[in-house]
Amino acid sequence: MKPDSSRLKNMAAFWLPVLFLSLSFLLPIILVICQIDFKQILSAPNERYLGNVFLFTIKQAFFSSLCSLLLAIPGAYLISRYQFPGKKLLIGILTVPFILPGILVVLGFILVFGNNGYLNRFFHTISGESALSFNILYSYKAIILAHVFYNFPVAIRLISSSWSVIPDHWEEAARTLGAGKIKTFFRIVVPQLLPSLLASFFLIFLYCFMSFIIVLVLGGGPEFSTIEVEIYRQIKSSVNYTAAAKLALGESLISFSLLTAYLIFENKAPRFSHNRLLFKTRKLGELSFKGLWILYLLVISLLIISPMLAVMIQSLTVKTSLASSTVFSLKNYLDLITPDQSRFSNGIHWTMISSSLLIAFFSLIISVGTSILISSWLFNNRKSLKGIEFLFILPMGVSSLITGLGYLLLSRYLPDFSFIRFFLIILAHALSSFPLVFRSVRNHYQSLNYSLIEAGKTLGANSKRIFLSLELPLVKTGIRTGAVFALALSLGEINATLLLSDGKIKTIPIAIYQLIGSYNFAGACVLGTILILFCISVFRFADAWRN
Amino acid sequence: MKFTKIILFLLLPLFALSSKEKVVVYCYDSFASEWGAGPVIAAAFEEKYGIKVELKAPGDAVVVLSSLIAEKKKPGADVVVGLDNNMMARVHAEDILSPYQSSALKNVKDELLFDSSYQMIPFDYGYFALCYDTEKVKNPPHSLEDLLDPSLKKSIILMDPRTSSPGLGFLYWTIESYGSDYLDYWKKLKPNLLTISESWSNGYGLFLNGEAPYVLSYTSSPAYHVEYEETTRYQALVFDGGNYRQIEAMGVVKGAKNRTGAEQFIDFMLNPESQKTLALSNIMFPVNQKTELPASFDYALEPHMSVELDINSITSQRENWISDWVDLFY
Repeated sequence: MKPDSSRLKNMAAFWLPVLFLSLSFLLPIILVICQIDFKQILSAPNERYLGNVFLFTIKQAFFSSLCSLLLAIPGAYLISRYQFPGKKLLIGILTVPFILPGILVVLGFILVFGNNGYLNRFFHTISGESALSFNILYSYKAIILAHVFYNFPVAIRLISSSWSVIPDHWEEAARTLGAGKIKTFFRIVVPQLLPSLLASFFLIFLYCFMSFIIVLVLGGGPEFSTIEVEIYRQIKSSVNYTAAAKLALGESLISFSLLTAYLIFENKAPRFSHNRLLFKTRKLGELSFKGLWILYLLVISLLIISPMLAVMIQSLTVKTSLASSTVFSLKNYLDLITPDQSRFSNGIHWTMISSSLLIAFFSLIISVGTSILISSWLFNNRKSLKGIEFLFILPMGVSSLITGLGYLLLSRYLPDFSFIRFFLIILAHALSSFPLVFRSVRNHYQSLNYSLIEAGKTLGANSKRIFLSLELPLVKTGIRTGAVFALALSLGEINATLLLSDGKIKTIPIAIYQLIGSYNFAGACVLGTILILFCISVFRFADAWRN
Repeated sequence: MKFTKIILFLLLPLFALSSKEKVVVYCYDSFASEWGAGPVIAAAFEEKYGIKVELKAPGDAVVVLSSLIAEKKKPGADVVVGLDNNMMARVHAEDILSPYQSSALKNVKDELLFDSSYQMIPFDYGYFALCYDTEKVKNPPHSLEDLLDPSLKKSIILMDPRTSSPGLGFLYWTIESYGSDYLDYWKKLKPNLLTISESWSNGYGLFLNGEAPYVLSYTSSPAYHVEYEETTRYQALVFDGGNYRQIEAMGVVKGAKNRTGAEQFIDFMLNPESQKTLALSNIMFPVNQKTELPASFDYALEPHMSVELDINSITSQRENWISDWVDLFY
């Protein structure tokens, strides 16, 4: 029987973070819901337009997911079944789009695929002006392309992690019984792969459904508006919070369903297997149509690398005057430090970096700290509250624009100081990263063996000592991964930050967005390059530790 | 110690303002940016009157208006800079400004004083125009009708009237010219549009980046390229039927905390030095006739005719016009 004070501490260790999180999440939501006049919930002055917006959002999400899956399946096949030189590099490259903030994807795309981008300039040099032009931007196709670029690596990873644990003896059995390759694929492999295929489909659908910055910039017109873009427009331009709240409600209902579908199928997808002797990984040389496969690998690698490479190259180029050609120079980076107030400055400043880092640091502490406290309590009290864990995933289905709007409404009741806005932005970031961080930490806790802790107790350690010297080191991989996610997500967050920033707070994504908006690419690319290098090195740091 | 230094370094951006007497100015973002007129005028004003000026830019002109309306009951600003004549209907209806008949207005042409109640006070004006890249266009169009020519397929950049004042101005221009047939005009114009961008700076940047040869801007835009880049590559089009006028305005916010400061700021904006700063950074014509303009403004064109929609139509029809326009795209 534990003495009362330690029981109280025990309860506090759980309920304090839970209450804090719930309040941070629910308070803004409630404020937003209060904006809705429920008697008039179904009426809207421009119903036809809103209906079209919903339809468009669903349509583009559907096609993006489908195309991502189709592009991903061959890649998943190669990775799960074959060994080839450069496989590790490829897997590394595949993780990059996920950590890139949407705004960088937009920037890279414009640089590569724009009417005056690298691709078109290449075409012009080999085929003469206007003979061959790849005019894809500012259209439906651009949105789909950008979504596929962003998401198909996710599909490859999800599907290949499943595929690599599906034993191939059934396939071989079918083949010996005379079934052709294609028949085998559809009758044997696909049914086993179905859960992970569907899980990928719904996850990508969710991301594309809630897509914001890609549609806002690469779309190019009123007919290409997703619900998120419309919510943003209602909040920022029309200051019509009621309309925004209604849209948010509709959007959340759909996104919760998508989230649920994803979780169901992800549960069913086979993941780990201790049986290593499932199949032999074959060498690439054994494939027929080798040429096509190599072409496929080249295309997807190029697709992933080129936008980022374009951003980095562009950051190093300077135009000495309007007419002259570009030269390589570090001048753009120097603008970070020099307070170049002239018209020609690249509009960047080192305070953007320090603001971003500060926000990321504190939001990381909040989301990682609460995740650890809650997971530790659940572990130590041998509880497995499935309900609560589902609740913690919920913020993923709510757009950060909504929490941003809620905090914006909240800020009206608070004194008008910059640091309050700062704090609210930190909270918004922490909330949006919490689901992923919590999952990461919790998963590691679940694989812990409680007998280790009991051993520690019998040796006389008190709970604090156990926590610090025993638990934390054992789950440090999970904590590190979670911290990396939180950092990357916060550095790249734009939706809520754009809403909450009062013009004085400038993070890197906001600065990039504004610079892209005025086509001041030099500055945008410098910040973009810094962001890319930072994200990549942070991820490699995490990965290196994992091994 | 190193850790503390790092934290302090990271905390630098946080420091808030002191609390001397101040005037809070709501404006659009380009006014408050490092190269905008705002900082220059604010510094000069502070030096003359010893009152601090706080520039707050919630977004572009449309967002400024929306923010004022949202804050009606508890206004955060004393002065607003950057509304325009097309917004007068809404400004009067929402009752967000307080009349002020500045003595500096004696130097302003009568026709620019579009608000007889003196709530909206003009500070510069311009005319919307299609601007083009002389390196890509040999035979520019001369009227709104010419824009429908099939040779201009996917070559025009416009702005969204819901989020941008040039976008709204162009919509009104087409309504003034074509009346109730304006939707037919837009249907035929659609194939010639490359994109409809969210804001002027978005669209103009696309244009400068070579994505399309035509962009909606102002007749005075070429002056910028002459003044700052010494090139005459980008020119504006004066149409046969006239160009649509935009008069930018400022005003004292109703319920302002510092009304005296607001009035002083407005007077200050109308003096010749400020007007010159405004002209050079906004690239618009100053309202004060006594302003001295540089040679580059020779390239800023005055149209044959100034076109404007009457305020009563705007008041009653605005929302319908915009929603009908949006419907065109589905």
